[in-house]
Amino acid sequence: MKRIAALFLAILSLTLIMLLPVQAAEFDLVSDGVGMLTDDEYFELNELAMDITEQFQCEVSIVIMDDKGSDDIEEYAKSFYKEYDYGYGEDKSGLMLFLSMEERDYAIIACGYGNTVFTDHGKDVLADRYLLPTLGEDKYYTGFLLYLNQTAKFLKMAENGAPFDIDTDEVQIQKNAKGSFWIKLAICILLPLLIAGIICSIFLRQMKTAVSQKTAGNYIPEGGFNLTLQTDRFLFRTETRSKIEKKSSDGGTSIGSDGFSGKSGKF
Amino acid sequence: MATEVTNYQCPSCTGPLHFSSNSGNLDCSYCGESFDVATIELLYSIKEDDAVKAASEPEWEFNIDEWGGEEAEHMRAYNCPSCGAQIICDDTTAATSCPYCNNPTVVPGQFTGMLRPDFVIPFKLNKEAAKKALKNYYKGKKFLSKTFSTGNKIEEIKGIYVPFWLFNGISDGDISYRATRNHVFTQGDERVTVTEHYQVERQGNVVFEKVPVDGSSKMPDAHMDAIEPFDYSALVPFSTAYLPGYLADKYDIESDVCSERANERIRTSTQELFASTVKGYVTLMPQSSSIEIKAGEIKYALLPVWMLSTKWKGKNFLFAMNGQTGKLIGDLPVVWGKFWALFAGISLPLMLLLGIILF
Repeated sequence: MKRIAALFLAILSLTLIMLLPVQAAEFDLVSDGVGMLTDDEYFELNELAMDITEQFQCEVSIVIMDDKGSDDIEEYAKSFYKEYDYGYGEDKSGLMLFLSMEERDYAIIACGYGNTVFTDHGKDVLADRYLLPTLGEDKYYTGFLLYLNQTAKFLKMAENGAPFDIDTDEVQIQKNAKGSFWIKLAICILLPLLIAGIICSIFLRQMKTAVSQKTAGNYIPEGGFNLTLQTDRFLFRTETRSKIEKKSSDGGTSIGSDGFSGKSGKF
Repeated sequence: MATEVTNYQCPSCTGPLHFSSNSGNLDCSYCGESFDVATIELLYSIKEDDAVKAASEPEWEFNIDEWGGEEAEHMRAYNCPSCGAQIICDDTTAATSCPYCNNPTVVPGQFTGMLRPDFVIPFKLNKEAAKKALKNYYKGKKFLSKTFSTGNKIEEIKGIYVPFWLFNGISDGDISYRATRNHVFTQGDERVTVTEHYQVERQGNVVFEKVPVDGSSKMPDAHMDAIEPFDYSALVPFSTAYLPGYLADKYDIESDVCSERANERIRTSTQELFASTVKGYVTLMPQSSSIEIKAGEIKYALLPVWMLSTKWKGKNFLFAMNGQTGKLIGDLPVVWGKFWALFAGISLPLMLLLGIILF
């Protein structure tokens, strides 16, 4: 009897040990608090998220909620991430897509190893190419599916030592090449035209010298100009602030002091 | 209708005298004697007194058809004192030359009483200098046809004492501006721009002395403006003795008409001067501007101008040269083919060069 009990405890312990690394599987990685997805869609997406998390040891999650209140969506998502203990391993590696349906706000936040994998450009691409076009048309399942598949690709690239970024994004590379071609072409054409125009207008002006005088500055005697009042009165001060955009050519991830990187907006 | 005119004659040989821009004297064209202006003025004032005394000659009665209408109003006839021929010219002509004997002739009646100029700047540069200046003017003009500079001939060259009104005045200005100044700094990942707004006030006055506006409708305003400035240190009290050898007109545009142009120039200069004292701002917008011009004395002066006219392909081209400083101006015909050739000659190689560098 003791042997049976020992065997049972051993099997139980082994099972628990096997389950430990997959912390994320302790709860669903897709949380639909609004009911945007059908049961089938929900399970399929959750399964996919779990597979990706297990494979790459970086937790990918989707949280949909009704109303986050007046808080900043990015800050709210970070608090949520911390409060519900999202993330894989000690450094809490992960990527969370957070949606607030009332305001139609979204945030993508990354933590730990997720910051390495999902660069600023990577998060921009996830949002602009895969999420916004579909979420904007209320195609949530399609959008989430594309999003998860893409995160898997990014994780694979990072695993191979080349995280998805400006310098590894083929679409961006082609776009930059195209853009710089047109800029160079414009410089090639417009700059010479401008220089030639300036030089020719100088010579052209020499041909027309019979011009009326508009001023009488030559007829002011020395000391003929006297200021009797000269005041510069301060009225008020205005302040404008603008976010310093990271140069698109820089690449990398901007990580805040809280260890998160993120992107947010409306869909 | 014929009126007496003055023809300055050499006291030695009675040959015609003309004002020399080189010597500043009246030189005899025949015997070469030279007389200063004051001597001739004195001599001729005695002659005029004698003429008044001898004015009791009988008047001839004319019984011929006269010019009528507007033509007659603007026409004057004078007798040349050298050859006696009748000189017909318009009512503004003050100095000319006799078409028969070519003697320089002055019409003193044009400069008497209220019409008498206060000053004159005598010619410093002669006809040859004007011709040379015109040749030099063609040099370096990229868009000028070669046939223009080599083929065209000076049709007419005239030294003219042009009537100018010289306006003196003080402009009182009171101008306020709205100005801004920016301070830019970085705070975290934000660029902060602090804009300070100021109300800027300037009050003061500007003295203007002898702002010239030509008083002759025959002279194009743009040409007369463009040959400015004249050196007023050479202004001398007016005397008809400076006129022989040149043409001269009396004004035919009243000073109150010309004052509008002077006021406009004074107003613009005042605004520019005031604005030049507002420094250190990135934007400056005038809010209100009040400029009151206190009109001062108006002087009437004859200023020396060489007018040169040429003809090319049936079109007349007019040039003006400051008879004192030598500044020559005038519009030249543009050969647009040359313009576009130079444009292409600069832009195309530059495009090629940039193409090689950038691609």
